[in-house]
Amino acid sequence: MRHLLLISVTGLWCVAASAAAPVALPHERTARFLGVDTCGSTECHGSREPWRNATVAMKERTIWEAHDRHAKAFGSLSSTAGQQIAHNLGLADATQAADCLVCHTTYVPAAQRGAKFRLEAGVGCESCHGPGGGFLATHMQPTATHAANVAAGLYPTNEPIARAALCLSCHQGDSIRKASHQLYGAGHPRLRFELDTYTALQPMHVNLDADYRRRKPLASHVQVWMAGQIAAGLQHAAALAGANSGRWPELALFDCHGCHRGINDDPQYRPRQGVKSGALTFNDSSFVVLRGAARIVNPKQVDALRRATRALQASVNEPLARASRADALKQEVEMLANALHTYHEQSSDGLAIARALVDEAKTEAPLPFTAAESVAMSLATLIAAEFDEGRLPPADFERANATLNEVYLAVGNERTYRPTAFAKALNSIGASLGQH
Amino acid sequence: MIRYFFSSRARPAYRFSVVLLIAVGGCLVQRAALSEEAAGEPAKYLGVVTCSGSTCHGASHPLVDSKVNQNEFITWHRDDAHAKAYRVLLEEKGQRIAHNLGLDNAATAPECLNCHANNAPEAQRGKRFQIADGVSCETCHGPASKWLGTHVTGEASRADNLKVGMYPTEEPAARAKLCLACHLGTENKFATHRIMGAGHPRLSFELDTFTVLQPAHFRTDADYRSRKRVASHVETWAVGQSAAAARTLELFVSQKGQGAGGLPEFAFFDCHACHHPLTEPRWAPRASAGLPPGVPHFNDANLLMLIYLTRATDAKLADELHAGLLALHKASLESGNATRTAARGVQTTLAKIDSKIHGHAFTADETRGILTSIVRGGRDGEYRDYAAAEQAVMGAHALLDSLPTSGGDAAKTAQLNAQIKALYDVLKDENAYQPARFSAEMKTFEAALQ
Repeated sequence: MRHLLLISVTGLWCVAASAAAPVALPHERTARFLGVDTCGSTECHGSREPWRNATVAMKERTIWEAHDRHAKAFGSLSSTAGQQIAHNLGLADATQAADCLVCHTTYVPAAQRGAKFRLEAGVGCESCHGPGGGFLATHMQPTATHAANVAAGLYPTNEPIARAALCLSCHQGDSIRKASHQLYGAGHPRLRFELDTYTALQPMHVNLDADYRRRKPLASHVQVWMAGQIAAGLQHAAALAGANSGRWPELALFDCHGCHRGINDDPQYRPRQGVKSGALTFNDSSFVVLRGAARIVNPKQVDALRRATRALQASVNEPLARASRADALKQEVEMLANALHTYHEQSSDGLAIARALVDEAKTEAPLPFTAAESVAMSLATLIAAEFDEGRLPPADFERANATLNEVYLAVGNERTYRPTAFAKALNSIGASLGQH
Repeated sequence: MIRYFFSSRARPAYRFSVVLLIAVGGCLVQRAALSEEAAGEPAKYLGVVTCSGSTCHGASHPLVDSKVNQNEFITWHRDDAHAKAYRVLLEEKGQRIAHNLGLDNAATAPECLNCHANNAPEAQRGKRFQIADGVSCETCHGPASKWLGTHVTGEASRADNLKVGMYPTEEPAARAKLCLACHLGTENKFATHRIMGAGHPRLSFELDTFTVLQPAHFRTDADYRSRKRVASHVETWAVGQSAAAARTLELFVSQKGQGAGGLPEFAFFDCHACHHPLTEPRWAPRASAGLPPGVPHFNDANLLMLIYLTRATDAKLADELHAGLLALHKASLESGNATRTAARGVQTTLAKIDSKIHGHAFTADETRGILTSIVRGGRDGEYRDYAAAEQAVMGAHALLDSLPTSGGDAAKTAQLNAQIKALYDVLKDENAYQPARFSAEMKTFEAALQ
């Protein structure tokens, strides 16, 4: 998780994300996957040191291999924990099980694997950038353009919406890559994600320099953050519209800590607003955050978003209504996404959104842990963005950063998390952001 | 031997003397309290003050030359949590729970009063009846208006008193029915998951242990035995398990078993399967459940105890119950209807088991066999659920207390009792329960038993 706001990407902020139609994800493409060794030879993206005269650093594989956990995704399957999870699921071997491999490797059909392709490379170059078989030839031409590469099958990771769809396909799961409660019950860690934070922490293996911006549109942190939240909300609403398998709904879609909390008496415990005590509550973190953004992006939609979320929450008691209410909420999120395009064209005020997010989090108190965690990561992103853009003077940034630490401390431990402590931290950060 | 409360409420209570096993043939008393209506005007509850005069049941010390202690009121008032049942509704926690449930006041809400007081209809309340007395004399012993006179003069026999409304608390089956009405629930009063979610503690009950811990305000001496049957600890335990399992399933297949939105009522499910920290994965396979990870499951603690009871006494019945339990767990993943059908199957087996327990004089060998069977369940890791571990240790303790100590090895007895204490220690904090530790302690217990 991004902790202190020291990760700062310098540069100008411009360029809106394009409202492109959904692009096929890398693993959905039909070209051949050539393997990490094809992209990452020492003459290409596997240089030890950055090249001086190249448009990119050329040491991308080196960074990935040394610092990026995606490189260890396959290895984790043979760890004690990985094998234990597989065993609990009744699988003989995690390194052989498609259910695990779909997210822990570049899992494509054998016919699409090139001679140098190795499943053991984990989540490698082509997991995100698409099958090299399609674009390698164009890509290696001195005259290559980004547009031509994309046309030939390079995945547009620079586009926030495309990147969100890509990352969330594993970090939240979809119909093929199921982050099921059964998987969690077997011991898999809880998934959490915020696109801009995780982009920064990966760590990035690109230089967002003048040359980069000449070649590709560069989205702002706020745009990346928003795209991630919208995609998460849409995917979550779509999943909630799905039917139960057997008697139970997919419990992975629900608030983890609503059930996984100590059973001893907690005098501070209060049921959530609009929810009966002891009832299941679905995880609505992304909708809390989206309402915060809507307060600035499309204020007239906030109440409708809240009503739609509450109606869906209440459908725990009315399963027949769940699909249509999830769909209604999805439509609200789509409306917000549309409003967002207009907003991005006119302004980008991360500070205003941060303040609105604090307001929304206060309105929704007591906030469950996952929602508090999402709010915390979002605030970190927004404050960093404002500082990087030069709209937040260093002294103000220092003050905001100190209160952000308080927020992070309040969500630092899911076992000891207290909504009241989080509310207090929200007051501090609200004040530091000039909120009254 | 000391029995322990779980958690921080730990409060040792001293068990009286080892009770001799007296088998009185199945003279099950009619359910007096329930046959009231037939006798014309309903009997009235006269209130604690009527029973607790200093020359009646409110003596400051047990009276040496009396048939009974006579200080029953004092014991209840000073040491019995039932005496505080109403008061807790007025305290911060009680008011908070009521608030979370959207109730104005816990102390006036029937939902709360039904178990926290003697919430009798207005017409049945005598002049000195006070709701604030909590769960008091007549809540258990029945409304006194029709038997008080002959009871005071000593003219009536036990049987006479029972006929006019005194409740046969000494009979394990009747006592189980009475206690479970609140400690598990009925169609009319039931601690739902909604109530627990609002802050109400989880319910946990074992008839023999809780009788000892209440603490008992009677002494089972020769005179007592000349008037009433004294059931053994093992019989009390077995009857309690059977009654709890039967009541659980009866409620589970009823409307009570259905929660909101087609989901089951979670109060019937194992609490700690969900209520454990995410940072500590809890799941491991369990032969008696046969379920995959990540699914809530039915609280089968009482059923497990009955499997071990029958395993030692009637292996065929044990297999039948085990098969029924596996089918119930499997069906709980499918649908409400499938679950109820499976539950009804288990009910049939339970009825067979119940008929064998009632009035049965458990021999020392049988008792030892059941104890060994429970302990082996622990060795095999069957008590992964906290509630099951809790039942296993309370059951083991009741069984151990039923075994004759005279002529036995005193050192061995001390060793076994120390091991019971070690098992209770593992259960001290339900939020930090470690099934593997419990299993290891059960192995030690098994070794000590041999």
